[in-house]
Amino acid sequence: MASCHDTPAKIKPEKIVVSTSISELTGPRKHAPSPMRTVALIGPPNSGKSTLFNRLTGLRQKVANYPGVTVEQRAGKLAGGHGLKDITLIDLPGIYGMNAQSEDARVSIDVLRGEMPGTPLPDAVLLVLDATNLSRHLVLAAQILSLHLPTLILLNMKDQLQERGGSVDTFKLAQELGTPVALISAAQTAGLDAVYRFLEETGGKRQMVQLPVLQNPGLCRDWAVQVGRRSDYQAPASPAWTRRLDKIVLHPVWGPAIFLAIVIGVFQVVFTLGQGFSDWFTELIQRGGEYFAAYIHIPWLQSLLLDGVWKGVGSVLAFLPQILVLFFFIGLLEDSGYLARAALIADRTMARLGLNGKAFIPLLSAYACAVPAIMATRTIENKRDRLATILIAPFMTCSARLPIYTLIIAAFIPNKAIIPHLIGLRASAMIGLYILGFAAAFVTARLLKSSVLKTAKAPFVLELPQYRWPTVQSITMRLYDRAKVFVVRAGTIILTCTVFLWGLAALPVHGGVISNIGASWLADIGRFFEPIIHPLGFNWKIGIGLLSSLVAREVIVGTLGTLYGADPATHNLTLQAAVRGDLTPGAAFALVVFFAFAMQCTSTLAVVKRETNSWKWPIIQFTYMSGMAYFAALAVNQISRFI
Amino acid sequence: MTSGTHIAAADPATALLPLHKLARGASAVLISIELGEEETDHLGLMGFFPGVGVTASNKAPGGDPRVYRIDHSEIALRNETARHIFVKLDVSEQAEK
Repeated sequence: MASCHDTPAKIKPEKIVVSTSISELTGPRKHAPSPMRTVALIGPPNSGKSTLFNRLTGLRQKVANYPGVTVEQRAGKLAGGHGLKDITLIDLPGIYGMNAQSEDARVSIDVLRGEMPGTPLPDAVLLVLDATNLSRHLVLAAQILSLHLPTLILLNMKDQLQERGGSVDTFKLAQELGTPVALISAAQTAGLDAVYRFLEETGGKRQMVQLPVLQNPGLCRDWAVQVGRRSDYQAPASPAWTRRLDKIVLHPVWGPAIFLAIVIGVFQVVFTLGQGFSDWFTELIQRGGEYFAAYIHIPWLQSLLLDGVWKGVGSVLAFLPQILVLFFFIGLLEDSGYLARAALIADRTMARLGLNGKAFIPLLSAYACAVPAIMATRTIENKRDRLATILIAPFMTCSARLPIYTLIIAAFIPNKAIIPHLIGLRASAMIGLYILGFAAAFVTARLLKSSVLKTAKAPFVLELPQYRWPTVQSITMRLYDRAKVFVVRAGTIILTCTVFLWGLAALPVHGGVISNIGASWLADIGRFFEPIIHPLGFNWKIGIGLLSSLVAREVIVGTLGTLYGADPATHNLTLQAAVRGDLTPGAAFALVVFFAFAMQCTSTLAVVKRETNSWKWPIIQFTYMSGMAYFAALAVNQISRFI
Repeated sequence: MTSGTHIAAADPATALLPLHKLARGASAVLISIELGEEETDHLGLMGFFPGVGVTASNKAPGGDPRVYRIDHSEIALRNETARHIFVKLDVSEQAEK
């Protein structure tokens, strides 16, 4: 017991606001100027911490990454007319304890010790705990309190505690812990005044409270149970609704059926509605560009603004509908509590990839587009699993691959049926390409998970939170937040790349007129690379197509159209006929295989950079995927010559 | 210590059982976790440590992972982890139910 009770838990510091009830904390306030600048918000996952953060800061949030890690830093100025507007609230990652093995916990420890570069030592801490689960969460409280920062403990989910017949004496608990305690409901905005009250009155004074240093979880638990008992903590009754719902949702037959219905539904909506919105948006942006183009009379400037900048803006914005649609559903699934059940059901399947159940939804979404999918990996807590998922997501056959697949299949594969009226040759070729992408993902995942991303000895532990109604505010905040992060962080990279590639395709300028793509620097590079791609069966035109498709895979179709259209020999042919005349069947097959594997998408690379907070992973990913694409295409073309 | 030695005990009330063998709805007391320090600490933070009461709850299709209830929290563990956690059937609690 020594490690848990090195010091008596009953400490009565002199100048501490100790609440007896909410009303005491929310009584008349003294408006003394607060010297506080930074306040950290911390708590376990599912404690309602994010809801509280949104309530306290509103839209005044900033998202960044902590230096050198993938953990997101969320900070915001305190909202509300409380004379505390200069206080910055930092939302630390949700953690169960200060276990230094996890990146999230390490970041939290560093911030709370003032050792995180660029983040000042917090003047105070708001610790959010789930009031319905106090015994377990008090372990974290002891660890946080041992850092000796002025701390307010917020027991969240007051409504649920009381509804289910639970109770706690916050006055006694405050005495036990030597720090103020308030019972709140972040979702119902109840009791939040206690936060302002604490921030005004504590005024950045460090509390000289000695709290136990907790090492052994069992002893900590004993300590937590005792503290709970002395605070008259009455645990609430079992959440009946959650139990009843789980009987259906995790039923051996209905469970998987509901799971499939939900994931297929989400995929369908992202694929059809999201894609539909994207197409509509792209069209709108193009029309808008053409409208303004009429007012610009200098051809090169017109091309720069229209085909470079405006197209770049367009390709950034075109991703937004899919991102918003996917995150709307992920928000619903996560906030309601279903996502954890889905992860449970999918876990066994994903375990074969060396991943866990939480990777399922991101990977499925990657069939529509890897960009929102990679952003959705944020729900995977295990960093190595998350990274592995990010690295394999672009192998899933996204919708941008379909134009080139369709073109090549239509040009080279006869429209015959394998089974009349059921499966055609062309459809099976398409399915084959989907399988090929999945196989590449599978092999890559197994490779990664057995080598560089081998999971350290952290077992897969998944808490199933209670079901809750998602709130409009929470979903809206999430959508706003993701859209902003994507446009600001990834968007700038995408725009820069688009303009750069436009430059290569349009320069040099002769007498104020930009080059045709066939006479551009890009074409020079394409011809320069021809010897390298020649063994794949590709000529310089395909080479230019491959280079131009670095912006986005579908661009190759447009580029080939321009190139064959400008060539007198193929001028009058349809694109299909021109491609058929220019490529051997082996080379055509090699081309689609190349596209199945290659990372021809700067937007994905930009998002990977943003999500992993380093250029290292996008560079590794690009090199690996391009290498795999090259050698697979080489093999296909060379083998086909002997058939 | 291997699971074999635990299961060999004759009296069902005192026999140690790997956690994943706990029948759905049955309650037990956690006796030991035969895993490395890091894993044991991680499980401890989630509420798994000797002396705590555990009830087997729902399970994923195919029986892996399984969900365990500690207090009112429901926590899923893969069988590969649960097989290293040993429990003793809680006869008194079963009688209550």
